[in-house]
Amino acid sequence: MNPIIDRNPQEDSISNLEPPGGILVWIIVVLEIVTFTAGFVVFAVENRNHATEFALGRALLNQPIALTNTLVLLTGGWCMARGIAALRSGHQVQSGRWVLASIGTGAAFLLLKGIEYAEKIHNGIGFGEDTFFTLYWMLTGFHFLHVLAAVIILLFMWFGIRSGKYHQESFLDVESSGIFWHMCDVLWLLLYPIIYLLR
Amino acid sequence: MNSNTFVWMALLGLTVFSFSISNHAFGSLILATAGLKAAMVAWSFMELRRAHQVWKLGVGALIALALGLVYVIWALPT
Repeated sequence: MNPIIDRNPQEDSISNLEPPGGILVWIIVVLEIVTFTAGFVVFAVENRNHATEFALGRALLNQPIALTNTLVLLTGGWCMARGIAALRSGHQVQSGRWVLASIGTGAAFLLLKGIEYAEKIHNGIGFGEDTFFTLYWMLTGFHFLHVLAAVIILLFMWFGIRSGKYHQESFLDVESSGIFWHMCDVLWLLLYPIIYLLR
Repeated sequence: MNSNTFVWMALLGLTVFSFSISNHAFGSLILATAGLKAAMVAWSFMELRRAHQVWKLGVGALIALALGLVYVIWALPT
């Protein structure tokens, strides 16, 4: 069979549908956005039903930490994009450094979020305090777990790049991990204005 | 300048912008900025620009749906 002439058109259309990083991670991305959207809708509805409570709750949030965390996550996304580009062009050492920088920003995000959570707990604002804080803990906590998972995955990728497992010809795992990492960015970019900024 | 670096700087700028207007009740502008930022991350960092139309439209529609629903609920008259 001539591989050029006798190509299976069905296989071609399937491979065309394959997004960067592979189809599986994008299915996760879609499911996560749908899940978080359900949470955002509940938050918005409850915001209407308990407007005063939500305004008071929002006033107790640490805005400088949330803003810093947004900038930190975006910087981590940029580092990861640079890391994958470096790996593709064969600059393994550079790639490792960019991925390590992403891990650093992820750790910084978790640390800052931990400080914010500790502050809430110290002030006696726990899960179930009221509707606002129940949803705040649920949505930000769920996102926190995603970032934690992404940092652990990126650590594995960093080790893989350093050991030579991932290189110019083999980078799909790193690409998929990058998509998961950026998904955490996208979810935070949707979550941040809804919880922290909308008045 | 690398295109990802340009996008990153624009994202930082838009974030500071939406934070700075948050005290003035520009809810629709804040949500629109969030949608633009999410789309920029998906398009540039996640390389959705290299993906099939189906993925571009699907992910774009999901982001629009998420923020659109929140906006409609938020903006409904009480």
